[in-house]
Amino acid sequence: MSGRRAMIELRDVAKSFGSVAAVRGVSLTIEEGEIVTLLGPSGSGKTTLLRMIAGFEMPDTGTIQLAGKDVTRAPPYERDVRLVFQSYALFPHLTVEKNVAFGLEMMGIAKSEREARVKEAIALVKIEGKEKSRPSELSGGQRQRVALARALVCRPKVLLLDEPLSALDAKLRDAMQVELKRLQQKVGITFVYVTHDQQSALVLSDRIAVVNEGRIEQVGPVSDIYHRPRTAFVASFIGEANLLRAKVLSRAGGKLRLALGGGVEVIANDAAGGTAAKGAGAEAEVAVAIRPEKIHVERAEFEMDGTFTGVVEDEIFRGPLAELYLRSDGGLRLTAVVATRTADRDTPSRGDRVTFWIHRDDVVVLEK
Amino acid sequence: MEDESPRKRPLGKAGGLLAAPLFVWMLALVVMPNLILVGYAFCDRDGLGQVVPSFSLDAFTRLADPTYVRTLARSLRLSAVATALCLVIGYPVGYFIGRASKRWQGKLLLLVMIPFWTSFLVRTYAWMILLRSEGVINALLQYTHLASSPVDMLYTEGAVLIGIVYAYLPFTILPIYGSAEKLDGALIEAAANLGARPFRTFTRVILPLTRPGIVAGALFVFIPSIGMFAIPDLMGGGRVPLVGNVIQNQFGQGRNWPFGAALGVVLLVMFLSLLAFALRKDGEEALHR
Repeated sequence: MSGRRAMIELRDVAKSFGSVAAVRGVSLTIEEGEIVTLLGPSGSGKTTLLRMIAGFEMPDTGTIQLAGKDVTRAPPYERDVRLVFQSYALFPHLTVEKNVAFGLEMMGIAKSEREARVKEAIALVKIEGKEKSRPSELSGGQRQRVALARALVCRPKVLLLDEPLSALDAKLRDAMQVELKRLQQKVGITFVYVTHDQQSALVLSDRIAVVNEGRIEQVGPVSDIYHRPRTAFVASFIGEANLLRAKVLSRAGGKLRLALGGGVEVIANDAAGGTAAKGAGAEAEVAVAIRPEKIHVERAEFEMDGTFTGVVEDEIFRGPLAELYLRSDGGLRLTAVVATRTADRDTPSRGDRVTFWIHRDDVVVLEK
Repeated sequence: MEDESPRKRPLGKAGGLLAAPLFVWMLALVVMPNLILVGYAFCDRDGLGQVVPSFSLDAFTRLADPTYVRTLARSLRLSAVATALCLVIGYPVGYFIGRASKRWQGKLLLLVMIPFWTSFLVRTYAWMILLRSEGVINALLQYTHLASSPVDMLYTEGAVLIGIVYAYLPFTILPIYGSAEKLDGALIEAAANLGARPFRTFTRVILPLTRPGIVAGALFVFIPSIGMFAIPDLMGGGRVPLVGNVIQNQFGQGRNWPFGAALGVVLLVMFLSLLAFALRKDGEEALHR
């Protein structure tokens, strides 16, 4: 990513509505051509952030730069940013064609060029044949394509997408996710995607910014966010995680020895832990996250360095995967996810005695 | 969204039964009287003003008299101006209320409705007190030396116009409010996002989408104000007679019911064609919502 031009720069942006602080000091740089997802639960402030980038809200403090230009106080119609609304917001009194042409007309683009670009945009999102239809005559998926075409036809510097998939059914949503990503690679425009759906965030994004309570909890490449969550919120909002309190037994050579309780002691990379664990000496308490699929479970009992024995208390079959609820012999409860295997004897199931272990790269020490 | 509009469902048996009183009412009190009116228009009258059944076009020939043509033209002009004024004043008010937060909408609508709690005549007399030579406004003008002698305001065409606009303004505000209230705010934002400055957002998005309210609001003023006779009587002092006054006179002192009816038929035909035109255009629009 480095070396590319910064397209959007938020610096210490804050916004309150009455006594409610929606955004509390957010700084974020989005580079040219990136897909960045603002991921967070409803009320986290992600939509307010998006609306400030679009110019519908003015930040109370902080600045917003677009392609190096300060637009903090610029009205929406002066920003080279287009938004795909959650409700699509297609003009009901205009045909598909005229909806798509609207932005070009406002930009004062000549009729002949306008017609060519509208045609091109309509082909890009594959809604040929619907040019003369009204939005009310289209299906949800078609409306979304029109909304996309209407925004993309302007060739903006940035395309903002506000939960554009939430109104679609699951099958269509999956297809559109892939198509959106393909489209972005084709047009090369910077995408800022706002969603509460971690699944589509993982599929679509280059980087994810996890938003919670008006702040960005963590920002980074998709795999970092998943494998190296910094806070308990990030660990539990994206994917599943075993969140545990652990006691530091010793630290040396870049390694932490942690007691998870119930007789389970694991090694974690010291560097993994971020700042809170740094300097935490022996006997200090730290928070730890372990992804369920990172727990190796074998349906056998054996004793090695770093392995533990326990029992499968319960299991949930999920098709390709099975969720196992483990209890170590010392009483520590963990959730593990294993691939199901056709041969019944290989998949541990309820009541089985098992041996499990966790690689030290997979024990993530959290900041809080 | 497309097919679930309850309006498009056929009435059904229970619905038909529930709507029956309305049909009876409309038939007995709207359709029948109007048919009788049309019938009268073709009748004659005897020397005492009694209606004599016959088929005659006398009443309609009399309509060509320049006096009546002028009265009709004045009525049309005054009503058109009143309608335009009501739209110019009522649109911003209706739009503002429609876009206000739900909490304020009720209060603001109440303010629009409050005048209805007072008799129409009382409100018209109130205007007369304000406008007459010894009235409040003239007293103020003279006190502030803006005028040396009373300005003639009452019993002018302007006074009639004020009266009509005042009486019918709420009927413009309410349908425009209805349209503005239904307008999706995201559409306004979408227009701005696509580069439209506020004025173009207004002409290209807001205005077309609130058109049904504008059409309804215009009809609600234009149609009743043509037939209006109380306001021109009171505030025009009989100096600005409108068609409504002529009709009232024919059925009263004039004792020429066939002629009054013929004038009524002219208005009726005008209104119906206007309504048909407005509904046809809006019906087309409604299909695409």
